[in-house]
Amino acid sequence: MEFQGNVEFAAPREVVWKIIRDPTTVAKAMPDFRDLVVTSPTSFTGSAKVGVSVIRGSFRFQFQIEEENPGSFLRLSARGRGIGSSVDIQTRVTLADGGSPTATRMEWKAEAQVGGALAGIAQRLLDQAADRTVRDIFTNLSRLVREGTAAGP
Amino acid sequence: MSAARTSPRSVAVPAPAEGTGWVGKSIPTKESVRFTTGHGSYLDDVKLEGTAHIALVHSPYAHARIRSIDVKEASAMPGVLAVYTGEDIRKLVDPFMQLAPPPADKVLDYPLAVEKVRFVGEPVAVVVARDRYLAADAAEMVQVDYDVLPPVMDAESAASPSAPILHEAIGTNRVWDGVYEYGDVDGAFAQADLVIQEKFHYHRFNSAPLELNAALASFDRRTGELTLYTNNVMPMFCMPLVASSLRLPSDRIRVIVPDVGGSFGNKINSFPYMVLVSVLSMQLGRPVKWTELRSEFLAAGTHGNERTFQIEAAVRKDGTLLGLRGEAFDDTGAYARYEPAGAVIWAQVAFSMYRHKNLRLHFHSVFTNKCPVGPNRGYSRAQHLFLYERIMDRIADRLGLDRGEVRERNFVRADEMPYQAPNGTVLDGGDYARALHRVQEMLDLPSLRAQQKALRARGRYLGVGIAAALDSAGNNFAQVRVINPHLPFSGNSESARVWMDMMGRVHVAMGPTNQGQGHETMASQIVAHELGLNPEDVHALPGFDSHSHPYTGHSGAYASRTAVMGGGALLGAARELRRRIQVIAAHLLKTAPEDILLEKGEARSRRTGNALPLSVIGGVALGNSLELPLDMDTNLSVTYVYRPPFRIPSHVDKKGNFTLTYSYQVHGAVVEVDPETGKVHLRRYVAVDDCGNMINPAIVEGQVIGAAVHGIEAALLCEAKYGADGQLLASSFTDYLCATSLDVPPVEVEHFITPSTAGPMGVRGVGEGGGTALPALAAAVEDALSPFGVTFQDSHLTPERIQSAMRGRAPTVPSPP
Repeated sequence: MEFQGNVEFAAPREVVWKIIRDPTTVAKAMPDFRDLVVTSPTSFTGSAKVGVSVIRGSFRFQFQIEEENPGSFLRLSARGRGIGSSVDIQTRVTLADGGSPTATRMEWKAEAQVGGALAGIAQRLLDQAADRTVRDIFTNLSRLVREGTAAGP
Repeated sequence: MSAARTSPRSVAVPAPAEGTGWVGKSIPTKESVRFTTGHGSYLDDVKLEGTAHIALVHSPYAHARIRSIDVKEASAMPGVLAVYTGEDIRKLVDPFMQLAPPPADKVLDYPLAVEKVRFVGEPVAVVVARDRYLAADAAEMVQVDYDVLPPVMDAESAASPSAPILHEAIGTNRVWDGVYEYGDVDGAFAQADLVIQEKFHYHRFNSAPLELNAALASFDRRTGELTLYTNNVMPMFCMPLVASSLRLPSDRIRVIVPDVGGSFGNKINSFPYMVLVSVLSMQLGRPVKWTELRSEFLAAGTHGNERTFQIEAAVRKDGTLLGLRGEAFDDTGAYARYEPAGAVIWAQVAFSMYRHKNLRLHFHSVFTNKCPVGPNRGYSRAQHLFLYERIMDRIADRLGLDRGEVRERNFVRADEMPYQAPNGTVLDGGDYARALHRVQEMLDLPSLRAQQKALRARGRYLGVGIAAALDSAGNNFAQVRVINPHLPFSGNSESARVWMDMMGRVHVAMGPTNQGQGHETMASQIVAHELGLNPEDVHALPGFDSHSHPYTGHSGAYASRTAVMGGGALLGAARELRRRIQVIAAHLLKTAPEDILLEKGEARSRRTGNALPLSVIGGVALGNSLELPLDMDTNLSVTYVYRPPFRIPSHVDKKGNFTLTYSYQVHGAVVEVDPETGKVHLRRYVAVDDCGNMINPAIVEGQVIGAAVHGIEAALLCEAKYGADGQLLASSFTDYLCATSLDVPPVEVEHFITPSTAGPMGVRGVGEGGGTALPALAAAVEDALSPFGVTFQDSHLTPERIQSAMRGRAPTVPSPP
């Protein structure tokens, strides 16, 4: 499965970068994410509840920042396991100046591979479920950016 | 499920020498009372004190190297007794014996994956815990790290040299391949007026038994004896595999099979799990139980053989099939656990029901990153019979002939029976053309054609499809020597023990396992028939227990063999017991043994009319034996082994009698296809079968209906479909679709009775049905859509496939508005 999209934040690039580079804020943006442990400057772990159709349960994720160019580019891999299934996600995030001097445009592209029990229902249902999760993540990120901007750099 | 209209003819059975004729009567099945009132005892009903339960950790990848497995967290969870990885188990057991010749005999197959995973759902680790739920929770905590490898997802590309290799130890994905050649194939093609080239795909599916695989192993450290409760339906094929894998002498293994809730062949390949629970019980010193989940059954149980044919048919203008040549690719999945037996089992029906003499098939059996395949109703033959039926339809369509006429022209004729096919198999009687005519009559073809025409004018598409198939039973195991001449298997046999106790009651036990086919009833009928008793007065032991039931290495429920093999053994044992009773009764009644008639529970002198109840015979023989001369045999327990006169086929010319009996069936389907949605509505379904003499016609009818419904759902609904990434896309019943009573109309069954020239009592095995519904439905859908000129190469007719075939096509005769 491939997902991509873009979003514009009403905040300068350094603020957005700080937020997306910080595991604590990223963890807050992800729905039902808990047990965050930052294991190194470029890796963190945690778990998230996943539920699609009849298959529901908890996934444990390992995140690894594979590549970064501060302020403009981030490549993040996530490897999740649980309920007899696997999810492997490669995400590329690019930041660029937005329409106004204080705006940042973020483009993202994610490639997800689902395995095991979840894969069986992937074709029909997973797309929708993943779409909703991704939307939630970016809504939450926008909110966090607003809050971060309000709190000052 | 579905009601049936039937008109069974009278059953011609050889008259019993004595007693009342119970063979041939549709008495209600004895065991159905306990099955339908909640008193059946299945594997999970067996409870042992202190039992631990397991949960498996499965691979989410089709093909990957196992980098590491971290069991620390899972091991520390409450109630967890132990966690074992594949590597741990590998140190405790030997790999399973492989049937294939070199190099595929070097494949290392263990109960859990070692080093690599080769299909989605393959177990990689096992958690043993106090209860099932704790085990499942802890299994979630086992962390497996994989390096993902590219998967091999279809048989033809698996065979190519550039494909990734599943089993590095053998350096190839080839399990086995060989050429079967009979007759003068090239000569036949030289004479052909027409050569038809086709490619067919027989899709991957299995069955849906209500009870899934399960096992309970209990190792007694005091005696060193392992008691293995299992619902494996071929326990004496399973036991030696368990013994050798565990390095345990066979006299220390007791195998018990309780009631089994369906198998359809799918419970034969469960031995890796049997080894697993056994080794865990030996390690932990307590009973260990496994009950499979439906998702595990679908992903990692047994799938039926998926097969692709690239085929050419040489045909004369009049529709006579002269020869077939081509390639067949069997997609074996990741391990060969019963394979490559499927690469020869099909040859039981190499020529199907047809008279042509020339066949060359290069058969390939290859590994792919899918669930291992194994026996599934119609095992390996249904695929080949599908090919024949589709070829018959193609011949008719290409030559503008009637599909029925083409079959009739090519059928082996009744006056040629018993008929030896060019590969040495012997068709043991029947009238194929008459069965075809009867199906055409039952369907009332002329009025169907008129209805079809009228509906087409209104834009509705009705179609009729008729297909025929053989239902071969009682295989000769020596056929596996065609693929590997060194295999120590041949023949087929079954054992039955019939005994009378000192109260004169009669007991029966035999080797075949009962998965709901009415074996206890059938056995009681045969024994009652021979001993002049009522079937209610014969106690057939339920299930199977190696301590109480006789068996041979061939015992089990597979190949539709119980009526034939079990029947032969029961007949032999009952007749010998009758002889012994006659000798004792003759002494007591002061007459000759030949004068003794067994009837209504008595031994009676025909001459004098004097009689003794069997309770007196049993009492004297076993408890009051000084009333009898010391040299008179008072043993009233008879074990008899029935062995049909098979010979070992030559692995050079691949000829021989591969099986004992050939029932046959002709099925007719009437469908209506919605050209817009591609949905197939099955409107009517008829079946004529001939399994020779029937021991219990009601049981036969149940088998015929069951096989028909099984084929219908396979054609229209079920598919174990995989994505190109190796993921199983039908991992639960939400995607693996089974038929309900709403999908299948009543199956109308009629029986022909042509006694078998090979089976005991003139009986043929029945029950697998040869997958007749699959070609019948493919033919019916093509017939319905013939105005659009679409044809189907696949055995699976989903709305999606039909729709895509219809895309951009308009009917040749435009429908009026």
